[in-house]
Amino acid sequence: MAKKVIGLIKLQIEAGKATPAPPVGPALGQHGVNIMGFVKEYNERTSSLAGSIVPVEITVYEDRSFDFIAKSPPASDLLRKAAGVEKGSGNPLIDKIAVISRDQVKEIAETKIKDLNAADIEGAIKIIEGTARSMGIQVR
Amino acid sequence: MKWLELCVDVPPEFVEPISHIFYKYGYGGVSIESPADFNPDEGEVAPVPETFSVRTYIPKDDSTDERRANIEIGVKLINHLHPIEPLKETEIKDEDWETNWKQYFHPIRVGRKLVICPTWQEHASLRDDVIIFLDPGMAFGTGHHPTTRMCMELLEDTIVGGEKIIDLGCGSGILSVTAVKLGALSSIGFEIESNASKVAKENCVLNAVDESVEVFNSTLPDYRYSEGDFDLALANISAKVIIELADHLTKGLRSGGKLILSGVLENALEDVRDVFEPLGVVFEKVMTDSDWTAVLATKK
Repeated sequence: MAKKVIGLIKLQIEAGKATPAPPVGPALGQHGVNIMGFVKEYNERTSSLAGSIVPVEITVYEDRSFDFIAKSPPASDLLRKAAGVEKGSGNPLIDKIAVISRDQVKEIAETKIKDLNAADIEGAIKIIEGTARSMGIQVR
Repeated sequence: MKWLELCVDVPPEFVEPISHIFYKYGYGGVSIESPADFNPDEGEVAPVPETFSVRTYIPKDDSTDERRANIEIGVKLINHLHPIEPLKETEIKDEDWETNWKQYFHPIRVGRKLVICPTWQEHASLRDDVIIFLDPGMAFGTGHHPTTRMCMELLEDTIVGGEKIIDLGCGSGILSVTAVKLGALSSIGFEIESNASKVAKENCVLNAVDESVEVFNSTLPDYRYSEGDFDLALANISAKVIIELADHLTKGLRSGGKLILSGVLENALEDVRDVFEPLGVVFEKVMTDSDWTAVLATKK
């Protein structure tokens, strides 16, 4: 039977830590989705990425069933973790707050490549290096 | 609990900066919604939205004013770059979303004779049906998720009558209630979420099994039991928790006792097996549904 889509929702939440509290509860509850069903699915499927933000795109159907695609964490989040810093530099041109290796950048690029507009891994690495520069993180 | 919902409608290019501000000062994350009313099975595609509704939530407590002030400053700064809609505020309560999905929860049949019936609906049962009355609230376990369904089917095949059961991560209490209604003697449920353990107790009363099912707001290592006390161990949680508590789960079982394990994705099944096999547990049957698994195992 054809299933009509009634909701397209993107959530930015921490991997493995979804709860029925906001933003999950109100975002899904308004569409009649079984909130705890989503919480179980999201937490188990993202448990290996604990500590990162893992955006998720949820499609809600007319019968209130849903499916979702978990995206890779934002590049800034992965860079922040790799560099061991709480946040990026307030003045990235002058204040360099950390240094990461090219191997670390490559690892992040491999994680992110499916969600980036990059033709190959070299293109993805350039994008990640650009994000690192904007955060005051040097690559050596 | 009361919350303040903050929402702003922005064009696509401003979704990221607004989300960043909302994530930083809101609670728990951000939701971004675009209009949807299309049928992919009829060749329709999602409309390209002119604006997205970006929302975050802040609890109504001592932190409300500071969080809201920071968000307002951020939105004003972005408004300088490009005029956007003003920030909308709505006060909401937990109950506003907790009950909405109930209108779409209808009785469902699981296995050969199990029927899960929401307490607010009527169900015409067949002669041999075993009816599980349920109000899951915000506890996991409605019978709709593949893991719960598979566990119930395995219970239907496993319970012969008179079993003493331990139910780890009992959620709404659905598995303990099912087991006792199928003839098990008793069940002890553990649930670390206090709201869920309350819900489980209420569901036991609804099904008149509250004298046979005890629910504790705790987890297994906190409970004192003798080795070999139980005939059946249930654990529909997650691979991580099942692996962590494998030793405790197995010790509580008598020799020849059964385990029903679920909440494990297919790609984690071998990790679970690798932990249980050295403990003398043999996996006898593995069910799969939508890349979730449920296992029936026996302790040697």
